[in-house]
Amino acid sequence: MTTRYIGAATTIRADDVPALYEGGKFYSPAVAPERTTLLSWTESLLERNGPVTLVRPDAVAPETRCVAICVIGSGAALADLPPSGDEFALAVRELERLTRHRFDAVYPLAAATVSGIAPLAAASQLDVPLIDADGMGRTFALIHHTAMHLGGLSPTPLVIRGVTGENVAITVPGPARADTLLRSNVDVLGGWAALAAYPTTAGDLRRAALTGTVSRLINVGRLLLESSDPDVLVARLAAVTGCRRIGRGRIVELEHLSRPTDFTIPTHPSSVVIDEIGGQGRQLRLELRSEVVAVFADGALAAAAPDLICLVDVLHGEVSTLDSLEPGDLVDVLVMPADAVWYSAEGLAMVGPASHGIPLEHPRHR
Amino acid sequence: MAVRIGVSLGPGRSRAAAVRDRAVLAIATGTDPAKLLAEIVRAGPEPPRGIVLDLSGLLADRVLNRHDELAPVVTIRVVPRAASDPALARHPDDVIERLVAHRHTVPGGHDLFGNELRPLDRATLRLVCKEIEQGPARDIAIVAAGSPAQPRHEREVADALQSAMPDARISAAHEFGGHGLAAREATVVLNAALAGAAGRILDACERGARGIPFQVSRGDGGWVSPARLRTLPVLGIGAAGALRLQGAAHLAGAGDCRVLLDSGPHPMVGDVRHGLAVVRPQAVAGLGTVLVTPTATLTRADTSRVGDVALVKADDDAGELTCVGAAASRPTAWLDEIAFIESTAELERVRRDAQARATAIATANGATPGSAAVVEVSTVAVPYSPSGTVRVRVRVAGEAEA
Amino acid sequence: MSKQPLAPLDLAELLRVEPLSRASAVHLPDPARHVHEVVLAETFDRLHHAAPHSLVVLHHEAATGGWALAAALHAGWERNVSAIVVPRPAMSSSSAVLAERLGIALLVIEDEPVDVALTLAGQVSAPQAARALRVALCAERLAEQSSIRGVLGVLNSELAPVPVALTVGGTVTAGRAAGAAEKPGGTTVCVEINAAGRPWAELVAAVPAKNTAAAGHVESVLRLARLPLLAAWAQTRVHSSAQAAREQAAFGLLRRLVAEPAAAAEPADVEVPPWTGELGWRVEGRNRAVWISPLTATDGAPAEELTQLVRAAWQRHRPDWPLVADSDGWISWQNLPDSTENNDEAGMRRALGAVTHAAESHALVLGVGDAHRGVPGLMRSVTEARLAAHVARDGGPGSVQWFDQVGARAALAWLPRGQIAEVADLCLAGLMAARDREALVDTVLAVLDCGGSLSQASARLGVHRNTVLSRVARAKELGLVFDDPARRLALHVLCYSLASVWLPGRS
Repeated sequence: MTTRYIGAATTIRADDVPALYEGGKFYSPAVAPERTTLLSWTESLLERNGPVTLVRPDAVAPETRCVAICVIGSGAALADLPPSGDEFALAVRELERLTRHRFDAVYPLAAATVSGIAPLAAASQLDVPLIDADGMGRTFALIHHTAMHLGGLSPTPLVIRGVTGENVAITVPGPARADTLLRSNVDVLGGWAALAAYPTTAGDLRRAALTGTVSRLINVGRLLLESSDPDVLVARLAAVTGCRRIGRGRIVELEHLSRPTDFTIPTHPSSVVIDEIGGQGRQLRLELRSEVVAVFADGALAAAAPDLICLVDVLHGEVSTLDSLEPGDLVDVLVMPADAVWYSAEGLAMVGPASHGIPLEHPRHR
Repeated sequence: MAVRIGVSLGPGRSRAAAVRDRAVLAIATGTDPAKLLAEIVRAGPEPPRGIVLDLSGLLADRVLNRHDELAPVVTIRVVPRAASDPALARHPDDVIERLVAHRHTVPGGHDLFGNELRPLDRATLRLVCKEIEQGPARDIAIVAAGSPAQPRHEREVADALQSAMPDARISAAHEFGGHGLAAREATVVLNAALAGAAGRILDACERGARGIPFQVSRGDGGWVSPARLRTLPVLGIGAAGALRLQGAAHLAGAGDCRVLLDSGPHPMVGDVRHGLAVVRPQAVAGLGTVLVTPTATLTRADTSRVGDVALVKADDDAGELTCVGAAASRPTAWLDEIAFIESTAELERVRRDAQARATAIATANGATPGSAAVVEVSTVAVPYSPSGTVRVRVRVAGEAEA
Repeated sequence: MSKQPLAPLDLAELLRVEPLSRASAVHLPDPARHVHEVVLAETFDRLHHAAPHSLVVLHHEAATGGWALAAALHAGWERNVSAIVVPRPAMSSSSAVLAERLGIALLVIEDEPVDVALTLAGQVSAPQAARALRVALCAERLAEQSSIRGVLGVLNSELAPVPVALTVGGTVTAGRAAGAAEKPGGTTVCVEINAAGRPWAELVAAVPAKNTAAAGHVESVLRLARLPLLAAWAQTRVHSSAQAAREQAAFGLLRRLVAEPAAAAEPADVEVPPWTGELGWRVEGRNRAVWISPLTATDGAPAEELTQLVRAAWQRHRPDWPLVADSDGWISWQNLPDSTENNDEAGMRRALGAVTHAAESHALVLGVGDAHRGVPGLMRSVTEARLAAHVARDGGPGSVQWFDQVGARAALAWLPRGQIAEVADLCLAGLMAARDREALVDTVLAVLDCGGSLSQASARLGVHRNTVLSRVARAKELGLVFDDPARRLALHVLCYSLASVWLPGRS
């Protein structure tokens, strides 16, 4: 495969989908999105409907109406309950009915994991362009953990649609309640749902969203597909994403409920303990929620959310998902800076280590 | 130590090895399995203590090259709504989809925790039954959303079909556990497609063995009884990889090591822990589709230089290693489940239950009662799921009944 | 009153009193590490400002679980704190590994951390009060002990890492030998223990150089141990006299077995009773007895204290040989396998050589019998040894006599020589009044010993034959007429008795 760098405005073809998927995995290393179904469906859509246009928000008219698409809920639920195919398009149609506006473009709420692919499928079905921007630049647990929210945009009105064929529409005055309402409805719908939210315009997205995050997935995905050598991989990723390796080691322990559980956030806290091999032989301790939220090296905070922390399986040279870890696995711990907006005071307050019950100063601030 | 025999049956040449401790006493090759078996039994200094057959080469050949000879499979999905897009209605991998003659969807299904998402649509079920009855196919695969947690809908569909067609061979996905509808469907379709062929292969093996009892290798490098393989033939898929790794480790006398298989055009590496190949549910080598039954993880050798475990280099003939691995293999079981916990005490209970169940399965597979021990157990939180959702994996290995 | 320097408490001291006495030490690299203050850390900010040598009790936010403890250990390591105290729910096995890796003391408590921290703060700010409390607790524990070993056990656990030993006459008899060893730069604390007004033993503790400040405390604890030790010693004495009585009775039984050989044709066939094994005695095979007795004959059994001393001396050198008090002395024996002809006299000589010094200082003599088979053989050997011991009395304190070198002469040892000598005063008044009576008696004894041969007698006495002749003539004048065969034996015995009675005075 040759590396074709994706620029500001281009199209996404069926054969770009595997790279988009790999990149999505890298930016949300927690879950192994059900690979075959969603991937082959999206590829098939693009083969049938033709390529989807990918545009930066500043390359379209500012009044262009945009809606964010996301797979909300658990990847494991999606894997066992694949979409019947109309969920994303019908969620958008329902939101159009509520807002009495047609949407001219879609964008990912979080350009990562399957939520990086679903907007592409929706764009193909709705025959609209995909905006090269998103709200997180990775995945965060709650629906208002977005750059749009920091920019004053509301997540609601929003619509979710489940595989069961049921819709739920939510409108709230305060964004923090949206996630609470959403969460219990998603459980009833089978653990995941198609989400259409943050109805806005391209002009607002220029100001409030993180741009270039979709094309970045494809570029990183290609690197990942090309190399199975973890050392080469880390070197290349360092050049593209600024990621660095904290250490390499063997998983020695998985601890559960290792911190008090705050039930407003999905997935209970757990920890992974790694004995570093080589280097200083440190004890690396990873604190997990739905993502790796902090890394301690011999008790010193080495990296923390919103940093993107991921594990690379050294034997296979691929990203290890958090639900596949086993004691004995040899892994590289990689850390990559998130988008700058998350290191602002408001950003850190929302998604920094303290939001996960770790009231320590972020290492990038020391 | 007793003499043990491992046999790797191929579509072309087959191989057999007689092994005692770490010594290979004799090797035999041939095309007629019955002759090969007689020869290797004769070559040993004493009657063998056990014989283990690897059928994975034969089974893969049926699926890849002779699929038109396999029985056509009728596949039934039990999900809340039928797929609205043809790409989602079919299985994404051709190797599976071409085995399917007809597809039906019966509305129903559960979530991961066993909560019913939609009541089973019995009217549709009756129509589907009638339609299948009128067709020729009698190998049926059923997969329902959420069936590992709640197999009720799958069972009801299977019962309805069986009472309508007493001669039908029905495979239901909850018998295999695992995660992901696509992988579970692939597993159950393969199982249904192989049911007839596996029975014929085993008949031939039993004739050839002339009363000497034997066992059949599983994808995870363990073995099951032939009777069990007749109903669950997909368990035999992909065994050769794990057997080669275990064979190389066995000859080197290493319990924990990384094995470099250096005989083919592409050197491959894989890990062995506690004498068992590291396995996981994944795309089966050569088949190109993900199954829920775990198989060995073999990767291209360029990563073999990293690591902190002993490296065993094996440039022996791949078939020979497979035979040694089969001869030295043990009865095993594997469990991969989702559970819900609210406290660490509950986690312990969930873990204990899973271990007890895996141990029971290993004993059913032929392990001496009391000999089965947990080799590996891991519990991880499932990301973006309700707090307390854990995935539990247990691997159990026992000793052969004397 | 001189003011004591306020030595700060160390971790070992804190761990001995409530509330940390209930804590479990997951990792304790240096128990002697000082604690200068106590910090109750609710937040990580507080932890990051902890002073060096403080003991940090984690609480609330800082004790929420795995990562929190890991972060606290790291902060503690950065701040050089003495120890981290954590509530049980926040503990995990990986934290134990990290504590070890960072070399930080980690203590786990079940109690409420706030209460623990408050109590600890009180203890650390008033170390003398904490020590006084500790001494009181220690006294209670010491009083509970009923054995010397138990008392030393309490002392060593209480004062750890300072080793404590009990020495008697400079030899370590209980506790840790390191207590009696000098350490460079360290201080040795000695406390003497008197029993019945005499020094009996010493408690010795070796205080390492780095906590010599604790020496005063060590001494006060050692003093506390004196009374319990004396009580335990008295107890031991009661026990040992009971043991002695038991052994005495057992030996008496053995003796009766031989005296009443019910149906045994051969005396040597007396079966060895199984209870001899329980006493640690070996009787099968051949036995060679040793008789130990006081130099001067006493009426009845020797003093119990003397038995203690003999037992102590014997056990130090020959712990595997029995020691039984019997009439006016003590019996021990060497057991030899039946199979060998070797009598292992060398082994016996080594044993005797080892106890000679003790025998001399306690005015004891020893007799050794021949080796004979079985229980009857033992009894025979005992009799022989006893005879030999009586002969040994002639050689003074510490003398040893082997029976095979005594022979019939042993009979003489049994003569009531003193009484016989008194007879001489009556029937040989003339001789006894003579100034040269000793020379005359010696000469007559030599002539009689030599069967009347004057020349042999003169050679033995080392004087001229004529001198012998003239002394014999003078003796006869004074009534010592031994020509009459009817009187010769009586006069011979008389002379022998007089000579042996006078012997000690002349030497």
